[in-house]
Amino acid sequence: MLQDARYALRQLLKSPGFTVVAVLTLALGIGVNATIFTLLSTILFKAAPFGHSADLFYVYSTSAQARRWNLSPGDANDIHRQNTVFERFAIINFSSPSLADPGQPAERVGGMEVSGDFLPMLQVPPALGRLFTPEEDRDGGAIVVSHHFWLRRLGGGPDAIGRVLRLDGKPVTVVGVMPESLDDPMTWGRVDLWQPLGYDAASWETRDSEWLRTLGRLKPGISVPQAQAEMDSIGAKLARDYPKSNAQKGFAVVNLNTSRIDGLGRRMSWLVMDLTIFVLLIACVNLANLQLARTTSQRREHAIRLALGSSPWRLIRQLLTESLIISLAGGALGLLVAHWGSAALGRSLLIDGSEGLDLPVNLQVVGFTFVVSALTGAAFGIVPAWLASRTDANAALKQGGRGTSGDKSRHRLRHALIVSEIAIAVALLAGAGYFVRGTQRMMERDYGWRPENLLMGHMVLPYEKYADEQLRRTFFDRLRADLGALPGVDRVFVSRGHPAGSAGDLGKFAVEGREDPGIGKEPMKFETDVTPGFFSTMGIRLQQGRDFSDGDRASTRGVVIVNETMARQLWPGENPIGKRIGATDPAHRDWREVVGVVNDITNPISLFVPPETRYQTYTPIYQSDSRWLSLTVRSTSDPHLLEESVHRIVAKLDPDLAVYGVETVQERMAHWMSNFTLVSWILSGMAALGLLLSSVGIYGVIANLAAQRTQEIGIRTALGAQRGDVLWLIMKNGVRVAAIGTSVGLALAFTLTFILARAMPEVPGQSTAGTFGLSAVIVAVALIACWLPARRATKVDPIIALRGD
Amino acid sequence: MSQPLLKLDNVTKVFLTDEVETHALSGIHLEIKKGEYVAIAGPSGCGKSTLLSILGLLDTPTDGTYLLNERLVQGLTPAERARIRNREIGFIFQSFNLIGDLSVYENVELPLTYRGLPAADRRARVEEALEKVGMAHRAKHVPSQLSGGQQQRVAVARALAGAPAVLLADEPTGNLDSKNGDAVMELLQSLHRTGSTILMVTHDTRFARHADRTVHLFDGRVVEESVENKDMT
Ligand SMILES: Nc1ncnc2c1ncn2[C@@H]1O[C@H](COP(=O)(O)OP(=O)(O)O)[C@@H](O)[C@H]1O
Ligand SMILES: [Mg+2]
Repeated sequence: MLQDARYALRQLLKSPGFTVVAVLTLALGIGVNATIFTLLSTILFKAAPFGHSADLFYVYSTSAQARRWNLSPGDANDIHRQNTVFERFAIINFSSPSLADPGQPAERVGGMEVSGDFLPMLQVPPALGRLFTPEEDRDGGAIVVSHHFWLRRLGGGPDAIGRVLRLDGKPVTVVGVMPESLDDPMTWGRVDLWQPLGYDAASWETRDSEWLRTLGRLKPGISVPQAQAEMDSIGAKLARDYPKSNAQKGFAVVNLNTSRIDGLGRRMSWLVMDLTIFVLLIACVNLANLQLARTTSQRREHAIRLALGSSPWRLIRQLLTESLIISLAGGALGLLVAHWGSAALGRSLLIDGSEGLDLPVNLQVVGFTFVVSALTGAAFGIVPAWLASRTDANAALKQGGRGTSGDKSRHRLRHALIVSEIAIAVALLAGAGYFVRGTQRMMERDYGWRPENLLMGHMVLPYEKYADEQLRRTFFDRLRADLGALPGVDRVFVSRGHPAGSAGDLGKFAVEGREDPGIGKEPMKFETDVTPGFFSTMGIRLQQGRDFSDGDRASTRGVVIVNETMARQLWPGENPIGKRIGATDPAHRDWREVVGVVNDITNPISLFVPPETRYQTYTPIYQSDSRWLSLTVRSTSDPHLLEESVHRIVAKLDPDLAVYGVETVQERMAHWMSNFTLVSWILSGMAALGLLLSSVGIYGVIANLAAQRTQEIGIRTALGAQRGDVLWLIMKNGVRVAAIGTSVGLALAFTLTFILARAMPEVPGQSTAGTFGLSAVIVAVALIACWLPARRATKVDPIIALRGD
Repeated sequence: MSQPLLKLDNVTKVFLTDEVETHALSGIHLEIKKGEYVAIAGPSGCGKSTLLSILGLLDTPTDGTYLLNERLVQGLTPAERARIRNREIGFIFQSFNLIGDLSVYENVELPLTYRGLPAADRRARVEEALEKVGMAHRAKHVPSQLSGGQQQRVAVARALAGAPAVLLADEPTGNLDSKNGDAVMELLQSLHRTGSTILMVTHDTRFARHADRTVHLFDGRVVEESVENKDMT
């Protein structure tokens, strides 16, 4: 074996050109695979960084409208108290408190309000300080911060413990710092700090509103079906006890690790991995072809070895050793490619709105690369080795034994390999094109509103300070007036919910004069609360009725504007103006009168998650108690120029209030699309690499076969063949192979796009014409790859016919 | 019939390789009339093949003029030269130069294909040529299934099939044993008797006897022309 390896190395060093091309081809092919595997192993297979994370489960609520939804405090509390399957059980509220240090501008941070079991349940001890005491769990006043927050905001020193910060205007003490391992955006996004949930008894009574998450650690020996069965029975009991809120509701346990990435993300990752394997396949085909060319030119040597009594098996072993050495060298270089590739990829990846993910090339990746390399070596080496072992020693050794039948089967095989290479390239291009074009179409679609020249930011009004409607109203009015007075500002509005984000809050409603459809079957709508000026600023067209005005207040009649789908479907053939909708609770209908109809709009999130309903309502912000707000201005020029002024004016009105996430609406839209854009880029890169490798492969084979025919071309030219005759002689095979390869490839491509359309209905995809267009690109590239050696063949001097061979 | 078919006037060929000048041919005068059988003899490296390649339009002289059928063939484009090679010249090579992937029939048909003749016409000519060289029964075979002598006979048929003005043969027996060599020489002779113009290069004076006259080359120059060695039969 060692002797084989030594001999193989010597052989490879004898043809350095082949060796270098082969190793580089494989380094690229294996490298991109290792890179994508690194991504996959992190986002699909890596467990959350907590102790025994396989035992951690979320409990979601399920209903006719939602498969995984938040829990109401009442439900969360009941599950906590009644369950017997969880050893620890925590209730979580994601918050974004406003942090203010004396002398520093207010800043919005990512927080988690958690009940007492939460931090102990993770089984990760704090790096500094301690976790919450039961008193702190009850009364608050303490926070535990994350490692990156500690470094960024608290200086990264031990004196951070005991520091007092102002959170939403209240002092809190830092009692602990969690270790770096918990800085894992894959689980809960970027978390800056944890604070006690501290709900009072009254809060736990709420059942009609759902915003809480829960996490539990299963007791040892309890299986998932057992836990699910208990959730089912608790669900049934709550449905009996609280039919109004829980009639159609159930609960589902979902493992923390498997819920770390959504279905679309998972499918996108697999798509990328699959298409990347295509690139490796193309690289393998190239190598098989190169190896065939080499063994053909070594035919005499192999014949001599066989004639001298070497067994065919030995020859196979010898040649396979060569292939393995090449592929392992390629794999080693491929790891380097993966090292750079995954670093670049990790930097550009966006997880839960924050940028950057550590994608380490770990042992798992090294193992994957090694296995892939070995398989690759075997895949491209086995056939040439087997063919070499069957060399007809007699024919090969005969003088001038050109054109023997062994050569013919090798040529056929090489052509078959190019056919498969072109077919794979067509499929690869089609798969990538499908996704890239689909992403483009998602971005170019008509949203029903105009995203240009808009700048937006967010703020949360603290409850205590803005408890009464008059205070909020004064604040909004001054904000709108001051911002509107800025030079370069065209229009301003404040809203709860924003078309550039989600479609707003989802809620049930009742239609006046209609029969009650029964609990759990009520129609749903998205609700957005807006100040006057919303529609004109966003470019949403009022189709009927009137816009909101400053006269629509808490004290005046409740009004609502609906979208056209809602108007058309609820009141077909009738005038919707003057109709009334209200709450589902018969005791508190709070009827609102429809005063206007606007066009339907699309918001970016509905590109990924099909919306539960197409109904959309808008209500005056003064007629609702809204605190989570967006601020939007339309500028007459570059909206970035207004960023400073927006911060300044808000700070002037309320120094404790932070405007966070200030960006242009177009940036925000791009942000939503960024992982799509990234995957598009990756796939485009894969497609380009596949195209490059396959054109190099085609070129190599045609050039090599043409070189083998130099003498023949000389003879033909001597006999009067014209330039065109020679061109066609060489290109003929290439054209035929390209035609067959493209046909097979198109069949593959249409199968693939069919599967993709099923797997990713969110992506609008590629037209048939587009797929044909892409395969035309491949045909063109293949023809150029054949034409280059053919053109060289026309330069063969016919005089070589006079010289012996 | 006074004008010669081929006429070389003061032809010189100089090869330049690595700044070394090789004077392969110097001041060659040569005339070959229609129907003649001329042998070119001389030791290895004296310029025989070079002379033949110029006559066959595979190469161009460095200096001097070449008239083929009263036409000056210098300065023609490669395409025109290929056209003339295809119509006026039949090549017979030392190493046969049949194309391994093509059958005997297709090999003979090849120059006719390049001439753009219709298929029926080609068929008649190929069959006639194979008949002439006695290889008609092997039309479907590929070259590797034939002996050297048989391959050379097929090559002769390929040269003949287009009815060229002249047959150029470069050591046609060089790769053959004496028995097969003799058979090929006999074939050329019989072609000559039926009117073909033949120019044959050989370093073996034994074969030169078959020709009407022999041009002796030495170091790129014609040193002697002899007609008296005509094989009288
Ligand atoms: N392409 C070439 N480049 C350089 N020298 C050449 C070339 N072809 C032939 N020669 C030289 O020209 C001389 C004549 O060669 P050639 O015509 O082949 O001789 P012959 O056929 O009589 O053996 C030789 O010295 C040979 O080395
Ligand atoms: Mg010679």
